[in-house]
Amino acid sequence: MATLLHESNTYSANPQWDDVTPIPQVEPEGALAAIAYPEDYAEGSFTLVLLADLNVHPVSAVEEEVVASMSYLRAVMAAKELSRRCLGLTEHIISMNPAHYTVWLYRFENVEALGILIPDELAWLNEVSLMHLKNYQIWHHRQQLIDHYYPTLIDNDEGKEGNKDTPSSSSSPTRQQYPNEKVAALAASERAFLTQMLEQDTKNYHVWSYRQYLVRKLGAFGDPAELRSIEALVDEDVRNNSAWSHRFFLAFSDPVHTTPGSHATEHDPAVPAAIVDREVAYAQAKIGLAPQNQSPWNYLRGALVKGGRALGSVRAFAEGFVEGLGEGDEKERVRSSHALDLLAVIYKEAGERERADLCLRRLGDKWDRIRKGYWEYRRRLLDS
Amino acid sequence: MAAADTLEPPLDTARHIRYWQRCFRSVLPHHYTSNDSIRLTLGTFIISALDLLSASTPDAPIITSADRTSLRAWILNLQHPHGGFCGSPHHVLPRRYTTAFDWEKEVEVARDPANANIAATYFAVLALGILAEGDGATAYDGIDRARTLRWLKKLQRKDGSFGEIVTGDGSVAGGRDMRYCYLAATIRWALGGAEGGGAHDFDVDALVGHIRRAQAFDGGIAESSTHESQSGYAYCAVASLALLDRANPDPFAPPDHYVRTGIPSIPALVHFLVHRQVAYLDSGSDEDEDDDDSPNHPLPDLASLSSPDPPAPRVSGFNGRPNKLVDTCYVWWNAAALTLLGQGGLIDLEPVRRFLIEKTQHLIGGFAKHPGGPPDVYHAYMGLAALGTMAGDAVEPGLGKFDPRLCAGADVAGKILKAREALIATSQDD
Repeated sequence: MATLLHESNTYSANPQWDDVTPIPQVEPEGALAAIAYPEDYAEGSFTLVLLADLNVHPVSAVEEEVVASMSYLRAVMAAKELSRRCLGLTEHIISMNPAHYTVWLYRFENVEALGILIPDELAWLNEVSLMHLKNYQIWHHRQQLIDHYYPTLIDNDEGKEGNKDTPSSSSSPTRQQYPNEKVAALAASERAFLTQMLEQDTKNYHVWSYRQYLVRKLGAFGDPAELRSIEALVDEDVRNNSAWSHRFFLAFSDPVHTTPGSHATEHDPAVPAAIVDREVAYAQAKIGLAPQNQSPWNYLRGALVKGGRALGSVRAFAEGFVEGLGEGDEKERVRSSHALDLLAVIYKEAGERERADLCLRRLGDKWDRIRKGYWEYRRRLLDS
Repeated sequence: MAAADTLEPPLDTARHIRYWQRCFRSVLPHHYTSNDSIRLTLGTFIISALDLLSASTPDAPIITSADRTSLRAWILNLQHPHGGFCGSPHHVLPRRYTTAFDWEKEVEVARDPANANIAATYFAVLALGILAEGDGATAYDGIDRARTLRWLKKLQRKDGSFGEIVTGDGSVAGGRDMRYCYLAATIRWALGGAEGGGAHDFDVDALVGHIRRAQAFDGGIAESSTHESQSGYAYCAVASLALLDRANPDPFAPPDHYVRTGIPSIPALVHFLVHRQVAYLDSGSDEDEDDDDSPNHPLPDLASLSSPDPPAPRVSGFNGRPNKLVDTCYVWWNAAALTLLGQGGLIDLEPVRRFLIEKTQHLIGGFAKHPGGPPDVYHAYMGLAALGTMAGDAVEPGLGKFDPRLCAGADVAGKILKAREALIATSQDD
């Protein structure tokens, strides 16, 4: 499959490319944001003329009649050629410029035309992803591959009608979530790769975005392994906000027990009370571990709103983090500014304006002085 | 907000001008190769920074008239003949490869449509505004308004979101990414999409609905519905809506109609944004600069606040998500979003200025992402944008007045206003 097909960096010297006339970029003098490209990227392009003035690059590079990969990529893309050598060329370009916004689509066209096996392409992509952790385009390519691959897993599923009723091979007592074993296996291998990516950066936004796509696409909401994997990340770092966000998605966007299109900020009557109970208890337990961690406080409020429960239902819980408020420095103990913030809302809703105001004053004066201006603004809102 | 002329420490504009002059006149080092497809983006930051900083050198223009002529030509050369702009010369093909004939419809169509990119088009529109001479009325001479607006309309999906490029088979590629919503709203405003009629204007209500779905349970706004809140996306959502308001052709509509329609709870969003400001603690985090934003922001222990009157932190920055490290660009994203919501005054300004000027400003000029790191074009621009925005109705001494909707100088916004009037008037003559 797509092994390193670009061992020769000098395409012009390679007889395999004799039939291609490269298209170098044309760049007038005074161009903006010119880059000192590495030689095998755009060698021979007119940009290098600029470099000659600045002595940052050997002038001889311009004189060599070597026209490198970008010029060849432009030529084969313009000719709409789909071939093995083009697949190799995309790999070469991607290794230098993974943020190239059309090379990935072109690579996909090659993969499709050449009948490259999707698991092989995914394996290649895994390595590239681990090399370019911050890249954005990689994840759309992956999504395109899965979109392409998924129907083949379903179509090849002989007797799929019968399959639906057979118990899952998993020993888990929860509902069976995947249409067949092949989809289950893909979910497991993708999860393993995502775990590896998250080991590099537990909060990589692109990885988490892709993970949501994957959960929806494969129907992994009810897979206990998905929730376990997220719990493991929270156990490792209770402040991992990305993991908290994914948990909210698993709990409150699962099509089996939620209303389609229900906004994140509104009550969804379809969510069973047991789920709300479970999520509220989970957030409270994690707050206990690190009371000043904002993530589970946000989660707690979000879960209550989703469940249609009054914030006042956790009044006693939040008061547990505050002692002797306003009773002087000797007696006043606050273990979480977020508890005070929540209590200010709870007291306001209960019509206890003065208590709410005290919480906000103590936040601005002592427990969260960085946001003094905000807490004063909240005090003004008490009377609106 | 403090009066701008008393701000301490002052911004050393001469140092920043030297940094940006280098970016402008020389070649960027090879590690920018992975930015080759977004050279127009980098270039716009460079000229926009020089434009802002030229407020401190009114007698000696940093970008000369000759520069403006050649740079305009360079940018217009990136325009795709069938609408939109390409991100760099490497995405511009010779003419014979850019047009095909659709025999069914008997019209010329783009042969390589994917080279036109929404971000590139936004930056082209902005850069041409910056480079315009006089009042700006001629800034958009040479832009194919009708084709660009029709192409922009094709980039919108049924759910209201926008993609990045239109592919050969007419499908929309790219994520469901709030940044594209912002770019689309800006292009529509600048090119007079609302005045273009149905064939040239996208579905505004669908876009507003899409943005509305992206507010998350914690009050922040995500890349799109159900994803994790992040201040950059929050800014893009708020600024998109603010630009839709600015372009609203209905004279009876309230000036914040779309901002109010498109955000389910503004108080919850303000709560999320102000909580992104966190104390900057020097210990150890300097070594983490290569590790980007993976580590947690170190939380101060509340138990340590034992004194009766604890001081507010001397230095504080902003992060983009709860428990993440502070970062130069998030000062901009948060401050700009709050400012557009009318709440810029909630920010405690001085500790944030200290973060930028004492901690991330670099000796050679520019700003780094994290304290101790090297400056880069993106963070160097965002640092200036943050200072310009936080000055509010005043100005940051040495910088021009800033427009947080466009992320450029207020005079640029004025020029674009003239340019769009001229563009609309010419189109009506056709």
